[in-house]
Amino acid sequence: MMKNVTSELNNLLTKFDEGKTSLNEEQRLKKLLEETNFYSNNFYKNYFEAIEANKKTQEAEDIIDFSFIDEEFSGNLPNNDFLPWKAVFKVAAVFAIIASVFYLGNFQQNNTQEAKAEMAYEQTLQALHFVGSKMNTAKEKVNYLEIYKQTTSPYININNE
Amino acid sequence: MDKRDFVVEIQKHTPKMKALALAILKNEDLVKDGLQEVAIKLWNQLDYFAKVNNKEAYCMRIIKNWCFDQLQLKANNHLRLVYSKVTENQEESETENDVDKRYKTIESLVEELPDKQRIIIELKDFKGFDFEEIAELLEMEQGSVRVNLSRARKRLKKMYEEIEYHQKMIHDEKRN
Repeated sequence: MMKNVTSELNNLLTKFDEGKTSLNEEQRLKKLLEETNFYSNNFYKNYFEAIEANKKTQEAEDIIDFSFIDEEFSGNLPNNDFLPWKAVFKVAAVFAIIASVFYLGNFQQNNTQEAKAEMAYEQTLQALHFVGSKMNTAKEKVNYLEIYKQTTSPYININNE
Repeated sequence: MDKRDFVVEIQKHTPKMKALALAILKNEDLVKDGLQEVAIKLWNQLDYFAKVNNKEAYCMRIIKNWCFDQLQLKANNHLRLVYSKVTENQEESETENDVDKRYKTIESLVEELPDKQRIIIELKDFKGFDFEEIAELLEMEQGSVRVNLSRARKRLKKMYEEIEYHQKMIHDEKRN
């Protein structure tokens, strides 16, 4: 019986060294090693113990911290506390710009109207001066007619009488 | 795929990704950093990730690439030193039982193996991956994985027996 076990053990150890054992064969090998107590098998016993000890240290744990996903979102979004203030500032800025544009536009328009009115006044003044000068010339000519009338009137009056 | 789906999907694959990363890097803190980075990377390419059919394989490939990048960094030599120091300190602890001590001896010997053998033995024996998965992850033939596993186990046994032999010699000398 013992001889069979030793033979099976040696056979499995040879296969194990060659990397040819299946999982079931490795389980059988482990069991046989626990049951027997050969000094020459110390390495294999300790090797399987080491494997078991290592499995115990492989407890599942939350290694990965997934908070980076939330950070990514919050990093892209504006902070809610400042959101109304930012909106208010933006609206105020837009109003300020629109008001400035209107004011400047009106100011420029007023200036243009004033300039146009001044020009029209000047032109009217010049036209009146021109008309005035012509009136003066015409009046002088009318004065000549008056003298002619005075000169000729006695004769004309005779005929009338 | 919304935020909740994403978190559930990543959490589903985390234990396996962690096992793979630990097998390659043997450094818990570095592995945590790696998993965090991978999660962020996958979140940043969410549209693409949502369309991937085999999400587990994709996650495993991403973490594997990250781990191999870390291995290639010279800084890893420093990490290895730190790890060795931690192991030494733990061995000196008085509260440890014999099983823990033997486990740490085996673990520190695994550390001494060449990278390829170490990663394969870690994945196969300590993390429970099968040959097919290891071959796919490491882009090797299954036969080649088996050969490397065999070499790793034999080498480990030889190193362990040498240590035991030296310890026995020292013990015998003290008794005499």
